[in-house]
Amino acid sequence: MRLDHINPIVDSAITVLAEFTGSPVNRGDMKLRRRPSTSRDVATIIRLKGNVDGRIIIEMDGSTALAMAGLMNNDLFRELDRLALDTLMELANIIVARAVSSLNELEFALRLAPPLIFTGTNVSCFSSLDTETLVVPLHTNVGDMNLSLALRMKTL
Amino acid sequence: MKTGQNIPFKFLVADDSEFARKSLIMALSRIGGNLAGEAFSGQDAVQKYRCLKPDIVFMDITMPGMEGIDALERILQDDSSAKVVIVSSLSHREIVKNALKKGAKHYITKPIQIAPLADIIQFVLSR
Repeated sequence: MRLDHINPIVDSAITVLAEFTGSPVNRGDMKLRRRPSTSRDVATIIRLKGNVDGRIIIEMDGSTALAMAGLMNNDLFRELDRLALDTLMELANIIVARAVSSLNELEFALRLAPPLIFTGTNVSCFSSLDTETLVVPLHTNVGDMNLSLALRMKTL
Repeated sequence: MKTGQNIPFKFLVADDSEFARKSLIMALSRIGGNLAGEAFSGQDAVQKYRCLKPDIVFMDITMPGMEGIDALERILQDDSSAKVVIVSSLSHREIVKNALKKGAKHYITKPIQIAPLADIIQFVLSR
C-alpha cells in the first residue's frame, strides 16, 4: 500500500466525520492486520475498482453506530434499524467517494461499488484480494471507529 | 413554476439511500419545496418524472440498475426542458464535467449544505 493511496482516504474520513459530528476527529496509531477482517459490531465495506483494487472498511461498536446515526438524523435510535444502517452506509459512501474524487484528480481512475454493511463481530473477509490491511483508529466525540484499508495497485 | 426563496416548487428526489432522500427532502422543504415524489433508482426516477412532472429533479449518480447520469439523459429525451440537478458524493472534475455535458443544470456535492440550496434552485429554475 502506498501513502499516496492512503492519505486522501484518511483525510476524507477525518473531514467528513468532523463535518457530521461538529467536532474535531483525532487519528490514532496505525496497525497492520494480515487480511481484511472486522472486530467491532458494525462494519461498512466499500469495494474500490480501477487501477487500485481493494476494500475500505469503517467499523465501530454498536453504541457508537447508534450515536452516529442519531446525530446524522437528529433523532434518537434505540436499535440499528433500516434507517440507522442506511445512514451508516451513506456515511461510508460519502467518505470513500470524496477520497475517490481526490485520487481521481491525480493519476487514478477509480470507481466505487455500493456499500455493504455487516453487523456482528469477527467477520472475516476472504477473497482473491490477499493483502495486508492497514487499520487507522479514529477518535470522534460519539466514540471510536476503525478505518481499515486493504488496497493494492493493479498490475496491467 | 419559477421560484425564489419563498415561492413553492415541486421536486423529485432520486437516491437509493433513505438517509440521503430524507436529508434532502427536509432541507428542500425548509426553503419552500413541495415533495412530488421519491425515486430509488434511475429507472424509477424516469418513470416518476413522466407521471409527476416536477419543477426540478435532484438525482444521485450511483444507484442500482440505471445510474443517475443515464436517467438524466432519458428524462431529457422525454422533456428537453427538464431541470435536473445532480447530487453526489463524487466531485472530481471529470464526473462533474460529464454530468453538465449530459444536461445537468447544476451539481451539488454531498453532504448537502442547506445555505446555498435556495440560490441554486433559483438559478436553475430561472434558466
